[in-house]
Amino acid sequence: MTLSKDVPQQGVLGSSGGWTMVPTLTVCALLILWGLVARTGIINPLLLPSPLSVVLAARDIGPTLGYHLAATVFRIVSGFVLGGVLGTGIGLSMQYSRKVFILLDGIVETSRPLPAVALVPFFLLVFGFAEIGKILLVTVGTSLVVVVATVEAIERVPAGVLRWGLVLGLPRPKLFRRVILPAAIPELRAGFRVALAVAVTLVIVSEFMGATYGLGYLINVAKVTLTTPTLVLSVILLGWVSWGLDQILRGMFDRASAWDLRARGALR
Amino acid sequence: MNSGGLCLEDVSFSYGTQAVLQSVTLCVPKGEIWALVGRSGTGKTTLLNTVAGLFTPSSGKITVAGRPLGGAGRIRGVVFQEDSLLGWLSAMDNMLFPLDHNPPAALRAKAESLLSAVGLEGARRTMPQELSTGMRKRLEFARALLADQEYMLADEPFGTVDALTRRDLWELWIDLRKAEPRTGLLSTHDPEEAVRLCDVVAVLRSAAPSSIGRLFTVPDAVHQLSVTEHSEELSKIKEDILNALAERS
Repeated sequence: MTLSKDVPQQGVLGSSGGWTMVPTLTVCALLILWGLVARTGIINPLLLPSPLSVVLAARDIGPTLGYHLAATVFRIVSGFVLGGVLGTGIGLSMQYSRKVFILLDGIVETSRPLPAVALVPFFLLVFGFAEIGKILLVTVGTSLVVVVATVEAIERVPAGVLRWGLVLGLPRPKLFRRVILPAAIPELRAGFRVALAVAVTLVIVSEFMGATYGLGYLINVAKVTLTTPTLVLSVILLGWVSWGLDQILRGMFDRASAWDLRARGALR
Repeated sequence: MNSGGLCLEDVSFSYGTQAVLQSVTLCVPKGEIWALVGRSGTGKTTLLNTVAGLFTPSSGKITVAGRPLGGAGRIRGVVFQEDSLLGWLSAMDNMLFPLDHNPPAALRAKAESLLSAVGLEGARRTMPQELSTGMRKRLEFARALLADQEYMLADEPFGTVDALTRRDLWELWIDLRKAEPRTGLLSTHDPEEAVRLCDVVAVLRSAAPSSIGRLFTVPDAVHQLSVTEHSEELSKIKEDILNALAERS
């Protein structure tokens, strides 16, 4: 008897073949196109600054740019981690205990459709410019997404796996720790990535409205002073931050659910 | 009723107001495996879930070796139709999962020998998703035999495999039963499978709610046949079971 080593090595859309460099090339092409269009002067430089002016804007701002960047990253990460832990805890509790579910389901379901951005003025009113207000805002916004993701992920644990855990008569805490939670991790991935995007949005909006540091603050100041290169620079940096954090999150989930990716043939 | 056996006495079960099982009574003697044969939707899975302790009967009682079942965890040797392997654990870790964190050496050795018995001796570190469907089912059988040294419940375990793999698994089942006798139930909708693999075939009546209809004791001569051989006796008992299945009440 031989083991079936023919684990699929490609995703559902087929292998990437020789296309692995394409994303880098398309980004480069876009940069070149941007440079060319800016150089022709067809579009007012106030609306479309050249790539060089954006680089020069970074030099002009100097080391303070690092503080702005660090402030934004700190707010996103701390709020997201707190929201992730809180959301997972509440989601697990809701699935662990029917009573907790009944108690919290109404609150979660009525709060979930509300855009967390609408809470920004309220948090500003209560906490002013204090750091804690921004972090708590992100915590609240992300935890709601994570609660729903956790509840849904546990509901999607394969029936056979759940039945096996139940048949063994495992005590409920052990059943959750050793069967349900590991089986639910792959399903949590999408919810956590959405929550991260929510965290980035909330931090930027809160920095627009009440901050003295951060990329959102820089964008707001650049808008008022009509320094478009700084505005574009801040947006690009924000994109990198968002992309980088998402890559880290994906890497963590890839490690935690490598078995599931292998089963789906998505591990290339 | 009989020592070491698995007995159901007047067991009924309802999902809310919908009665599924009514007064199911049977007693499987120690060392025997009985087949539950019925059409789709007659409550075979519900009955096995009840015997496994996942559902509480609305009335009646289930006894294992003369003692009340008392919920899940008493019968741990269960094989399901759907995949139930833990994807994040290797084949060996799946085997050892039902045991304590540090199982004694004897149980580890038993796990090794069961993996060999099901032809997976080289796959102890292999992850379930790297095994074929048939191999995964073999692993589930080995795991169930290790988890429970006395009882076995199998809920349409061969329902998802192709015809040739099913035949291989039948052979494996027969060999394992000789080496590792268990007391229990196997549900299937295939009379031939029931006859070849079990000692007695209990037909579930198709009228709702279900109850046990006729019982067929499988002659020894049928069990002497290999899984590819046929005989008049085999055909006859299959025909009788089919006729019993067709009866409405």
